Amino acid sequence: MGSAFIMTEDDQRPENPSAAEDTLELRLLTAAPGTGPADVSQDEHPLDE
Amino acid sequence: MTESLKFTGPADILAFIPHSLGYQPEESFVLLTLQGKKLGATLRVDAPSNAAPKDYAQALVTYLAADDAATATVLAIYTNETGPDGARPYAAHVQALTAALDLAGMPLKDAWIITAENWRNYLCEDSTCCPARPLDAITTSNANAALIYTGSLVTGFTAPAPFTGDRDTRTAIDAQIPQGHPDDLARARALWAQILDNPAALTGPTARQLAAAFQHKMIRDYLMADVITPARDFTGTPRFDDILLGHLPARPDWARVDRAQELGFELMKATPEGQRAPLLSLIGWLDWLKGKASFAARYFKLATEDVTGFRLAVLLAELVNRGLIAPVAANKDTAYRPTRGQ
Repeated sequence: MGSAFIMTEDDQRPENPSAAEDTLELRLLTAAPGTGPADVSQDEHPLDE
Repeated sequence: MTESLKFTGPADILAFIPHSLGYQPEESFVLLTLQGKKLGATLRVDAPSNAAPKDYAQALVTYLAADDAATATVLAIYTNETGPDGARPYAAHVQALTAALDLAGMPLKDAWIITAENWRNYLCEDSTCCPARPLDAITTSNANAALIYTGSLVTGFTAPAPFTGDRDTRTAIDAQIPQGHPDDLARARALWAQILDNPAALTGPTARQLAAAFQHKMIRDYLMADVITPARDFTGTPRFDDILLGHLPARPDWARVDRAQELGFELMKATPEGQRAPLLSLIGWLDWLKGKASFAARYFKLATEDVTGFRLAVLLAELVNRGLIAPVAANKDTAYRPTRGQ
């Protein structure tokens, strides 16, 4: 038996979303809360040991 | 990577961090992976405020998981906080991080704390063997001198230039916003492609045309995606959602991305307040793809200040603030690398 699904104002589809906005909305549905902006660099360097 | 430049101690590694990130971190945890005798990825996140130590540690280890060559890690904590009774700050977080890194097979080899006044080893509190050192030891290190010599600059955040056009520009741009017909889209994409290939071809009228094209949501999306093209060795066409989210099958042409950002800044000079949000979103999104999420977040904030609630920037800001790293930036084979001389 299914349970009732209640749509809130937050669940309303924004008016006239673009493809980018739709894609981001979908991605955010499964994004866990994180640490804030995470910067990453792959700038490798040798160490002299 | 400059093979001739080798780091010999902590001051060299600490000097490298701002060059690697493009700015001097503040109130941050910076983790660097070691791949044998090489420094690998650099990761910077905000210092934990209310995050539970285990959750925070797990998040950081997850970020580093993409570096499958990592054999160990080192940590730099940039903070002016102090722990209880003058002890090291964030002790519980570092303890949790040490355990999580051990478990992930990249044990923490060393850690340092950098304040506004000095730096010292974080793990050794014995001031006789590990005294506080002046910040000058970092700025005068061999690594800093060598990095500067090879052309590396710590430029920090680039603030967009103010609008410098005429008073009637806003109305003129409004009048040129395309309707979104297929012909409009084709014209806008052709112009954007032409200017991306040859930025010198940008004139006052073409800047206005592009600024107007970016005001149309659907055309804006296409123009953003058109920046990303594989550098070489890839003949397929990535899907739009994959491009937007940074799932790229090959290394993008990063020089083209740099040009697109420079053009974005150039177009800002010709675009008045209230019409700059799409360009700020473009610049921020490209920074996020490069791994520069902190800068991206600042551009998205500027975009929502320019146009309150500007949807694309609101969503991108949420993506970035949840700590999502673009897969293209997490992969060393596809990630952006700053241009340096040899």
